[in-house]
Amino acid sequence: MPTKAFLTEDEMPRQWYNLAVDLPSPLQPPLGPDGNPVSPDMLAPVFPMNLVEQEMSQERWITIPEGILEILWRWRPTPLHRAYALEKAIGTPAKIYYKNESVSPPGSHKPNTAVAQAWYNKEFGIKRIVTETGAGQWGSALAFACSLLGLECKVYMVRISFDQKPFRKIMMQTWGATCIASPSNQTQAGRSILDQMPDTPGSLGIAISEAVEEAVTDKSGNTRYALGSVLNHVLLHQTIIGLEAKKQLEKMGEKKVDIVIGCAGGGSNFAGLSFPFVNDKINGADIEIIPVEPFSCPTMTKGPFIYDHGDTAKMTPLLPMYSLGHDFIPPPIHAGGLRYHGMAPLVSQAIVEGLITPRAIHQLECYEAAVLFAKTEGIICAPETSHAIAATIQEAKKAKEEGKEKVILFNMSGHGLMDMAGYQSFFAGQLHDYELPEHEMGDALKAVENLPKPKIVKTGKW
Amino acid sequence: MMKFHDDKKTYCRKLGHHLTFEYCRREKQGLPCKKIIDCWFEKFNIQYYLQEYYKVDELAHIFEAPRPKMETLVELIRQAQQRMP
Repeated sequence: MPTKAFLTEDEMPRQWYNLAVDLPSPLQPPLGPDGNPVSPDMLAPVFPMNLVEQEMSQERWITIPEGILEILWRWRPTPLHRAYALEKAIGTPAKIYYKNESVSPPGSHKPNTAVAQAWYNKEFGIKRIVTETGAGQWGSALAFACSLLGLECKVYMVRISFDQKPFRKIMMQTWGATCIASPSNQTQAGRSILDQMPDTPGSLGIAISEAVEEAVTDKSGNTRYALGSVLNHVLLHQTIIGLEAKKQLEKMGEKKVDIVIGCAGGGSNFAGLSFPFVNDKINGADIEIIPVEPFSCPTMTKGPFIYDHGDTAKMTPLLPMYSLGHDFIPPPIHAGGLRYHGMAPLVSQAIVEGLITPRAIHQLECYEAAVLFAKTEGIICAPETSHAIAATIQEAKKAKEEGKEKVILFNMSGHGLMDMAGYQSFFAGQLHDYELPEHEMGDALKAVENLPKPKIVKTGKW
Repeated sequence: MMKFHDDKKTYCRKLGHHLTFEYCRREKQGLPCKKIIDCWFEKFNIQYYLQEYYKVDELAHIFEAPRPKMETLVELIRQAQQRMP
């Protein structure tokens, strides 16, 4: 029985899949601050026009340029593993497969879009790309991509991450990128913040402001900005994961997959694996597709205090009014589609349609799953990836109870070798799950029950 | 007392690593991160904490409606263009 399915370089998919074309309820066009649709020229100062076109594309399949394939071949196609040892440990009849994106040089799925974005920038004549990063997963992926393509790369890293997470900073430097702490004195936005708060630990918001400012104010026109998640073209580039997985499952003799799982922050690794399967589901396949997030800070699922009623213009997490005082009125709700803050609009709309079903899992269960995975399959996963593994184990145990030989596929989106602090806390017994007392949850739910509900655009097919 | 919880730690989904509460209460230019309730409600009475230490107008600013990424980007571009010498 094969443990892994490989594809040759010739077998690697030659096109990305654009779910935006097939969503039964189309996305509303993105709106600018004035409420009017965003036009391509509004984005031209930060993105090359070839990527702007992809962002707004209504083509189902978009050809991957040969120049991008040649770079992706350095680590792609990534292997699809059958997790025999994990299956045995659980005692499940389910067949568990995982797509191993940790084999990329920076250790995660993020180079799939970093390489594509850097390539399109270079094609457009851009010499230099700027971005922001927190712990450095995205920054290191972009530094890697720019290095291979001979582009300059500058990364504004949030000050607190810059101080506390030194190794990815060094990775970026090794790949030739300039990594500086944000806020910095190199932009007006940074200087303004430092004038007001010299000891600020920074934030992603400030770092984005600095990166965008640097792109916009480069009078040579040689600098652009890159984003690692949320936007349509980013998710598009990641679909190579799921497209490869489909071919590999066929090679492993699987005619059908029952459950597809990925962890979801901004949505890009989840989308990358799942969107090709969402397409199958739209066309009648019976597949359960699960984005997973931490219970302790949920975005897609309704935690006790999380009411992500929102819309295309002003998405807002509604807060229980009693909890913040009666004088505080949450921002207004506007009609439109539902959006989850920080989540890719395509993923949000797929949730609204019922095509995918989000799940939240407690952190202890996630770390227990990660440790079991490390002990059985050998790979120490990233903290985010542990959510996908925990959900996979839940589904494998359910299959055991039901006596069903389900096929489960999840995205091993990255290794955790740079993120061992969480494991350290777990082994030291410093991580705890907390359950909200039922009466508090009841009060919270009561507090919002009469609030106006958003208009949800969905076909009702799923 | 405002700093009572400062040493407590949680995983920050925005930055991708563990952080102390001290960061979360200062993330938004000295004010708390808008995800502060989402990330801390399980660990202590964050609602009470916010009521105790922040004014209504500050709470309104902290929890103002987040905007879609594309809208934010366009706004940042406009702001940067205005800052150009």
